Amino acid sequence: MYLLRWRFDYLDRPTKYGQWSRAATLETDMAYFQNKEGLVRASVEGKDILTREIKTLAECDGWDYVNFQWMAELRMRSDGYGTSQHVGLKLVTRDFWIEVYARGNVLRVPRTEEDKNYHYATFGR
Amino acid sequence: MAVILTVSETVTGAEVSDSLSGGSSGLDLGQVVNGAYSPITSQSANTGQQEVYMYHDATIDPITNVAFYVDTYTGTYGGANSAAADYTTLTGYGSSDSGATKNNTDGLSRGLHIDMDWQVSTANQFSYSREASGNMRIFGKTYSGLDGIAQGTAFPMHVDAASYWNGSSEVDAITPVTGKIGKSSDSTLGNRGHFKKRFYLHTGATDGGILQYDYVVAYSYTA
Repeated sequence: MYLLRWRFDYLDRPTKYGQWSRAATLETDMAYFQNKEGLVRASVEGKDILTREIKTLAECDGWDYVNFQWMAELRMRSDGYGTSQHVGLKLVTRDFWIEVYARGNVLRVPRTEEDKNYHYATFGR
Repeated sequence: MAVILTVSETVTGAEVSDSLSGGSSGLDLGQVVNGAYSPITSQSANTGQQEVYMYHDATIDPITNVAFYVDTYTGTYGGANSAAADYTTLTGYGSSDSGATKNNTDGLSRGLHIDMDWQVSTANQFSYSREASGNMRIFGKTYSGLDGIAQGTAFPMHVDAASYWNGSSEVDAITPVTGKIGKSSDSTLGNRGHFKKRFYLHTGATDGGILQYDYVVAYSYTA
């Protein structure tokens, strides 16, 4: 099992990271808010919850990056009902949804044409 | 920021919170008898269904990839057998559903059915002819590789389940997209997912008692 976070590497600026397996509480800390100018690489990092080793589980070139999305689930009929839980972090590229799950498995799914036509909010670009 | 998804029984209602056997809370579809379905009003008139609405508090983008599947119950179990056995029963019902009548007059329908068209007529709701369009789905039955019993084979939310609550009435979303529910002001994608559920029981069912399972709504939101 892994904790997951997003990561941006830039040509001429320090690397930026998201928080481990949780959504940012401030808009300025969200991935969408980060400036994408000079973006060299976007990646999903995982921290093994036992060994604490950090590794890159998925990545794309900066020009190919579209969005990061938390993958969540709401379970009806459970003690935790009402609280959505993160099950993974998705890297959206021009042509693919790259779904990284907390278990460490990665699925590469072609984006639908409808989704490609949607313009996700991106601050600073 | 985290996006909170709310599931309710009315278009602006609070989260469903029926008290369930065992002590957890969720959505209780009620009692069903052999050869019928639940919730039921009039079997001959094909009336009675559980209306389910979904809305969220995202402010950046719509939520995407909204999909549904059933899973082993994770609440405090209070059913007649075990959570694992109930999941097997539920998915087995779906895979062996051989019904052809929307109101189970042939007594062959079984399992959890969903109709993802918020405007479907009473006469047509849960009709098997609507499986071809993707509006009607049975959890456990396979449709082009999707059976709705696991995360990877979840049923995507149909475009006809998208509606827009304008503050005074529910209207059709202008250009809905499969699996997307827009922000509160989004009349194009719509700001509601609205579908109907029923649980069917065939005439030959032998086991009584409470069946419990998780109904899972999967979705993605901008990080």
